[in-house]
Amino acid sequence: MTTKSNNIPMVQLTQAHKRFGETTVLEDINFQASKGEFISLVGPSGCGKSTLLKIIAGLHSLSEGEVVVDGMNPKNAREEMAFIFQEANLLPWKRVQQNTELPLKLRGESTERRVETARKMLELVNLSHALDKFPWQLSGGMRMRVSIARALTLAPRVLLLDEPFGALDEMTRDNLNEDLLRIHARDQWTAFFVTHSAAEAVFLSNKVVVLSANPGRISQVIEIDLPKERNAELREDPAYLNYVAKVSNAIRTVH
Amino acid sequence: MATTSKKIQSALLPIASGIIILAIWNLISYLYGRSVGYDVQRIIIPFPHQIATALWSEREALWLSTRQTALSAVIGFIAAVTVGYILSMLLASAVWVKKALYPWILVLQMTPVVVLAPIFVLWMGQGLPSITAITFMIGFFPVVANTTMGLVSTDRNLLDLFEMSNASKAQEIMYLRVPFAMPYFLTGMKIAGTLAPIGAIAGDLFAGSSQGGVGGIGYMVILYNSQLKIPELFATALVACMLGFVFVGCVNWLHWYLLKDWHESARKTDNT
Ligand SMILES: Nc1ncnc2c1ncn2[C@@H]1O[C@H](COP(=O)(O)OP(=O)(O)O)[C@@H](O)[C@H]1O
Ligand SMILES: [Mg+2]
Repeated sequence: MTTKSNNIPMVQLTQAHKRFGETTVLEDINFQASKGEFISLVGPSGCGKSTLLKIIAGLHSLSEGEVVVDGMNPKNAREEMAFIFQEANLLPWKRVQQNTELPLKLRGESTERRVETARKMLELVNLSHALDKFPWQLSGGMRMRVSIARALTLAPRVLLLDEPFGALDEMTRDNLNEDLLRIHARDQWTAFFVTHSAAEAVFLSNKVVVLSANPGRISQVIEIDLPKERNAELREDPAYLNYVAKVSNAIRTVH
Repeated sequence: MATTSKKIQSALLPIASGIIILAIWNLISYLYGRSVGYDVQRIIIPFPHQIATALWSEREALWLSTRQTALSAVIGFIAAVTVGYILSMLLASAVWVKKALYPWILVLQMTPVVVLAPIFVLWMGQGLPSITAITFMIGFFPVVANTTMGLVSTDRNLLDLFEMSNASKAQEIMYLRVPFAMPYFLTGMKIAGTLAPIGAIAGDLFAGSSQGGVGGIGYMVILYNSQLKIPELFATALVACMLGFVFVGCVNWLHWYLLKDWHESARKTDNT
């Protein structure tokens, strides 16, 4: 899987600081992610994980320092990025199909392409049977699948996920994690994934970034040296369990 | 079985209580008539059957006046909803617009319409224009207040989603802000719909006329009252009440129809 493009940074943060008024939320963040990397962000709540994602997305600007996405200012790299929110964040008045088409519609794609792409992405997340449902008719897990399908319609190169599965039960979450890895293996986007779960972070990522709070700083970066092809069996692997313990410990002791 | 008997119960109970109320009314009219005489009783608290007779014999005049009032109510209501909506878009378009205009809209709202009514008559004369203006004044504020609230309280995450998709301002308004504000707007519309028949009748009290032989319900109230046709007055109240029901029924149906697919307020059951 290793190609030479692996070393070109997709996302790069250099001496990044973020203040809201007087309070410093993020301090001296230096980090870079290459193409295809899956990075998890963990840390106490309020430490600035969501803020960091929004900075990469160009929804917040930095107070100091620099953020570069695929060689560009984030605002110019929007077309290459998709954001998946904690709530599925669907339009309640639109059916699954139309919700999935939304980014393409906003971009002015033809109806034909919109319908076809949305269908394909919904198939990818196993929702072909629910095209005509409204969001309220779906379970939390299904709603999140729609959200993922919608994000994938634009074939993003960077995917930003802010605690996407935090509100789901464990089994649904595990299934979605496996699906996410399957799609990642296929599309090789660069992921930034915020989570509270050490197990989830280890299962998905090749790197786990542990943030400390007040102000948010990178306290530790833990490389997850597990095989690239992962499936449910990995969850019993001693090496995996070791990493989970290590990340849990890092989250607990951070301050 | 249980549901059928419940249905029968909920249909029979109001009828039963209605019969009891009528019986009590009858009794009061009878006792009152016995103590002060039945000609006085007739113009203070008429028997239900006297009201029914009045309703029948005045059916033509009442039907025409109801139509007249319904017309004023509909025009005033549509004006209130349309102008209210446009004004809300304007208020929500920029913070400074709202800061500049909202206090004056409040001032207008706080001025009782009954005080403004004679001024409208002065400007527009007796008849439909004044009456619809009064109806409009009563109905437009709830539309503005609710719709503006809906337009400015759009979900932050949905706005971020649109920004991430590089949506234009027009797309954001059309595909996000307007549909998001729809339930709020419809709530305002429902309130305006409840007030419209009342506004039209109140307007009629000030600006009603029998030009062309047709006055509205408010005009009939003044007429019957001055002629001491009290059973007819009660009959008019009954008709006004029915007009209100029809009006509110239509508006509620519209509310339900537009939101039934997706909004909590219009959904009865979850059948997934
Ligand atoms: N738009 C904002 N304006 C002011 N303060 C904010 C804003 N967004 C977040 N914050 C503050 O920044 C800090 C980090 O928030 P956030 O990034 O949401 O944390 P996390 O996602 O790690 O829980 C919090 O203290 C929060 O109150
Ligand atoms: Mg957060």
